[in-house]
Amino acid sequence: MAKPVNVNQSKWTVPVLLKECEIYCPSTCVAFGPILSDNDSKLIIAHGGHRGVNMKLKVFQQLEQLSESSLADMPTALVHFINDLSSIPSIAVAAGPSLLIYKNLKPFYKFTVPSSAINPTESEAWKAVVNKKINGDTLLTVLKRLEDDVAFSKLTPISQTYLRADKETQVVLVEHYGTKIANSATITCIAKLTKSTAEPLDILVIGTEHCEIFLIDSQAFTILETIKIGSVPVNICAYGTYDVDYRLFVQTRASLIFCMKRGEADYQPIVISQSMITSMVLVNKMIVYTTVENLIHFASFRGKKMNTVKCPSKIKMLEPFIYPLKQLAAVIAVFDKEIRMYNEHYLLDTVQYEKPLAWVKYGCYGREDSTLVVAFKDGSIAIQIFRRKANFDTKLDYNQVPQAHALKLQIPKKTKVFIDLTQREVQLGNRIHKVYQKNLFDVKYRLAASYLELTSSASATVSTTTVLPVEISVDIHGFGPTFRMTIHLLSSSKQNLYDMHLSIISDPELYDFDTPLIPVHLLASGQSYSFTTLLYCKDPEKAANCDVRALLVHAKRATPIVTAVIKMPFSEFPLD
Amino acid sequence: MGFFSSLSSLFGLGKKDVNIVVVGLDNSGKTTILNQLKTPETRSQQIVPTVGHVVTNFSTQNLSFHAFDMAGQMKYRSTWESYFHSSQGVIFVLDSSDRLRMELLKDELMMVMEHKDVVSRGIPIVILANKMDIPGAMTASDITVALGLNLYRSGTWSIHSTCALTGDGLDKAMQQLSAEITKYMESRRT
Ligand SMILES: Nc1nc2c(ncn2[C@@H]2O[C@H](COP(=O)(O)OP(=O)(O)OP(=O)(O)O)[C@@H](O)[C@H]2O)c(=O)[nH]1
Ligand SMILES: [Mg+2]
Repeated sequence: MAKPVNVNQSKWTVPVLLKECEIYCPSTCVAFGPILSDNDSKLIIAHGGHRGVNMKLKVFQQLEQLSESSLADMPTALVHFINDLSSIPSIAVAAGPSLLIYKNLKPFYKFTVPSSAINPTESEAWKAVVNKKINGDTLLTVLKRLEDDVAFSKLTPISQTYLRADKETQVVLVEHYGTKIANSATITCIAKLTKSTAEPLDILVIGTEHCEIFLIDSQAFTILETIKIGSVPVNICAYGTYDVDYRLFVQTRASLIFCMKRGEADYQPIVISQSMITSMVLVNKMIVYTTVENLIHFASFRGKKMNTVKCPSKIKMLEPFIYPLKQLAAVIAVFDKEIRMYNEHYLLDTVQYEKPLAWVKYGCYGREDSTLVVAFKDGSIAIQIFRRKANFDTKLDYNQVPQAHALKLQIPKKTKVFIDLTQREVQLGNRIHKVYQKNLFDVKYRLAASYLELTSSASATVSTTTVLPVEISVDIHGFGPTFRMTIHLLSSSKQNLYDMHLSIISDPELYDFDTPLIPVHLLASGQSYSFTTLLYCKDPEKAANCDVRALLVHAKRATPIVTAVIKMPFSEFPLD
Repeated sequence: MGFFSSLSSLFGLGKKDVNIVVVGLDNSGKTTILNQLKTPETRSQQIVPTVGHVVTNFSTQNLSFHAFDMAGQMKYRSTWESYFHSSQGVIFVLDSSDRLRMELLKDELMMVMEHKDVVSRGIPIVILANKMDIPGAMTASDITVALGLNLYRSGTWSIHSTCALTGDGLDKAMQQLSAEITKYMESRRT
């Protein structure tokens, strides 16, 4: 056969590129579904364009673009949903605080998130600037003060933009939006939830920047439920049906995962992650999420962690994979140039690509139920289909450690030097051992000798200079409040040392010295000298003591030659 | 063609019964083609996606065909292979305009051509590149290259462009199939 071997083994057909397409969008802006009367599942993409230019809603059929229409606002997410059983399904594009609904590819309705309360000072200031009572700079000052007092995130989106905009944009902002400031939160994520199995209509679930989640009836666009949580939702996965029993798994910006059930009012996070959660999907009644440490966690619906996969590099996103015909389910993890499929126990498949990937989407495209759309960083898109004969029979353990017998030993090459040395070792083994033992003994002996010398000479003193080896020791006599302090100095330097001073320092609150500075005129080598001073404890009733330092200093040296630190005993009371 | 079979067809003596199986992806036009092969008065007007399989009978000059029209949707594709061992020929229908599924098609075609009941018995395969009327449809030679058939020499296969709506190309394809099947049956007899 002419087919290359690896292609034959692949579980996916060879990728086919979409014609002339250049798509840059996040994976949240992609959906599959029939949207026209032909019932053929299309690929729908809300294309972000480039800095607000060229924002388009694009629809692909087969390998070609079928249609495109302009979008007025930057899209953040897109969902394909059914809101009428008798007609074709619709698309909802989330842009800013609004959902734009398209039916038959024509704009059909616009739903805007209800406005939250506006800070009174803020709305006053905007009113004033519109009525020309204050100028733009004053508005900026007011907003800046509010930013400090109330927090940036609590201001309206328009004020936030104003604060970060340049002069020209600020003027435009006042002109265009000054009269209609609203505090509608930006939509961060969107999901859908089936109403019931008997009535397969979708309920839209949206999360906003103001930590709210709305459940919206997709026929009348009324809010069915509002849920307030403690953190900004960024990703929602829905499970079950609205009328019977549902759960919403909400990933938040604070790396928490909440679970909201039907008829429960109190929401506690079920997953609290120490590191940032980057994506979350549901597969096989499990929550699968990734963290920045390149880990994929499989957790139960209660949040109990069941397994963890360590990945070699950054995981860009996760995508659920199901193949009902063979009851296969897995999660597709997207890496830089490859995708890997995992279930809760094994690594099931790896597919490599020549170009860096952007995202993948798995679902029904055209007539094939198990199609994988692969988008690359360069904007191209390829289509692959899961092969009918493919299975997950070959499984690999995830955190694979090579088996002991598979590890290669580093055996050195038999060079001439190696052979010579080996021969020497064979012939002279006994002598080599003896020489080694003798040297080892020598080393140990010298070590012991040096240690002994050190312990006998360097007790409790620190010599800061190696050039002038002077030893110092101090005796304290008496019980207090008067003590006698005797300092012994012994120089072992080759020359005699001249013109030094012994300085005695301590907390002046505690002790008084008879002679705080003792001149040391001469230290002859090898001779021991003693100096004495009296010290008085000022207040024995305090029962305080502190360290006293004796420093040997020379006028021409920045650091003391030698220092002794003396721990003073507690003073007795004076004998009156 | 052997002397006796041509003689029997000359006298219009009972045509030989043969079984064929018609496979291909969904929406490729299998049912439409078989409908076109029937006599005008027996054709049905409405064609809906096939579920499971349907047996259609029609005849050419010397053969009387029992064609198993298989369903092409993904969930039915695994049923195709169980019909190969009882057939004397295979018709593989493909949609020449479906570039998206060309790779999948290649997979499915190879599975048919390499199936043990096809290879070991050496039954003929006729590939119909249908929907040639659609603008932008691939030609039979493009498809031969795209499917890697030019490198595939073993077995008896041939490819024909067809249009099921008008019947274009069908006659020629069926003549070839009849000839191959007759050859096959004669080789079996000796
Ligand atoms: N333009 C064009 N359309 C065709 C042609 N052949 C079939 N069709 C159309 O393709 C559609 C599918 O045809 P079917 O015969 O049902 O396809 P099938 O292969 O039997 O499909 P399944 O039964 O689902 O496997 C119908 O709408 C036909 O009208 C053709 O040659 N040209
Ligand atoms: Mg059919």
